[in-house]
Amino acid sequence: MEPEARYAWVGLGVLALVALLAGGLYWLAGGTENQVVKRYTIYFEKQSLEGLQIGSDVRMRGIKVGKVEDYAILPGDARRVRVILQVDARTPVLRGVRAEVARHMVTGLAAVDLVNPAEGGPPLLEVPEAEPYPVIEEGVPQFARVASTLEDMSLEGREALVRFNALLAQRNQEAIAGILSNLEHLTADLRQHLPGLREDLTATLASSRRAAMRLDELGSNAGQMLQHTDARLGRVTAATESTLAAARQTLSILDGEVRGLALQLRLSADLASQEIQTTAHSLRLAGDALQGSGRALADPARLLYGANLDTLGPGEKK
Amino acid sequence: MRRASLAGLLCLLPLLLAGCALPGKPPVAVSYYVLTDPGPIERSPVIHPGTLLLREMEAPPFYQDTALAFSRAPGTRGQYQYARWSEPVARRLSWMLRQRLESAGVFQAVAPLGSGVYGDFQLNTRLVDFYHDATHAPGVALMLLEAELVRRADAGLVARRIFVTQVPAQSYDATGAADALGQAANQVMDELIAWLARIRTGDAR
Repeated sequence: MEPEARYAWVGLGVLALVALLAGGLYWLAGGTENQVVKRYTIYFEKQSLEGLQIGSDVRMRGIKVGKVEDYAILPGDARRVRVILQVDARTPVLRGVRAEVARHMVTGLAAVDLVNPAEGGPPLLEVPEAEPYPVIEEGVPQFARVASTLEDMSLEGREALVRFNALLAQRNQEAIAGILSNLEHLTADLRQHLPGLREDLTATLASSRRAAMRLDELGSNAGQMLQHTDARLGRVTAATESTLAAARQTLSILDGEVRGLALQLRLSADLASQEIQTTAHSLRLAGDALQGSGRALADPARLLYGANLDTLGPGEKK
Repeated sequence: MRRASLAGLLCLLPLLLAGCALPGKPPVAVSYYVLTDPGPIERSPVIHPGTLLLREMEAPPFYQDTALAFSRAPGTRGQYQYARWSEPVARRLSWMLRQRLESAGVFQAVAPLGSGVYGDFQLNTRLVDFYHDATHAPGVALMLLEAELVRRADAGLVARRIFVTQVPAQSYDATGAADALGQAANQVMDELIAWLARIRTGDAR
């Protein structure tokens, strides 16, 4: 009877130990923290993710605010890596936030730094179509920016060196040497001919001075001539204007005269036509009258003895 | 002998000439008739712009005499021997027509052709017939007048018409004929003025 009771106690003790172990594991996994988290997606394309692991820190302003939950290289585009972050819901992840990969110099472990925009903004809540979580834009880390600048400087320095080498090419060196040699000969000649040159220069200066004086006189004369010409031109212009005005007036008068003449001509032609018509009518009448007189004179008996009985009108008696 | 015969003839000549002066049957007096206008004329409702020049009425030589004309048989004309118009009928009718046109006011102004006035239109008239049809007593007065309106600016014919009218004579003599002919002339002029008022002259160019 006694050994069976001991086994029961041992069983209970084992069960208690198992329960204790499970509770400890749960505690170690953070289950007791009872934290509320939000998930975000980042597509890294420019930055290296070397040292980034599942569970790596997600920081904001140096403070850990979450961890990397998952990452995967996109099957259709090998340059892009999708990383899913788990961030404490209390963390203000704002619209315009940038994600940068920060790497520890010694351990090589990487973390994701979230950098909110300096001017602030509303929280990032929008979930793009076909995405499970809001998407955070990939940023450019400070180190990468410095490296890029250094690379640009290196390229420009290299180009400057190439140009400098081209400047100091053999042909240019020979040309510079030739120029220096010529300069040397020139200075030697100058030194040799300096006294004569000085005299010539003096004479030239004197001539120049005289020429300048002459030029001044000429300028003065030219100014006077221009003044005279201007005055004469003004008179000519005035005369031309008056001539044009007179011509315009004459043309206007002439135009009126021509119009009047045309009207007069038209009236004269009309009146002449009338006169011709009346004259023709009168001539016709005169001719008819002459013919009638001739007819009457052709019958002297009628003149002497009066009308014939046969020619009397109705109701007339001789 | 020859000289005696010549002297005898010279003596007889005055006697022969004196025979012409002997009193015979007294001559028949000639009556003169005047074509007259009946009186006031109604104003035309239409006044054409421009001046109308009236040409002297043309007439055949037969009607240029002052004698009244008659016809006893179709196609013949005669002249009354003792009845005359006071002036050639065409000239008198022209004057009457001008008076009528001025009174009616069909045109802004009316003047005879050749009077020195510029005209926009010209009215030409031609007296074709104007006689006493004495085929049957007491007969009828018949007048036939042709008229044409011309636009002087382009010598274009605006309109033309022939007017015919007949008026019964009251008596079968020159008096009745003159009276009927006067009425016929006035009727033709009335029709002519009404016709002118109806014509669309357009703008005188």
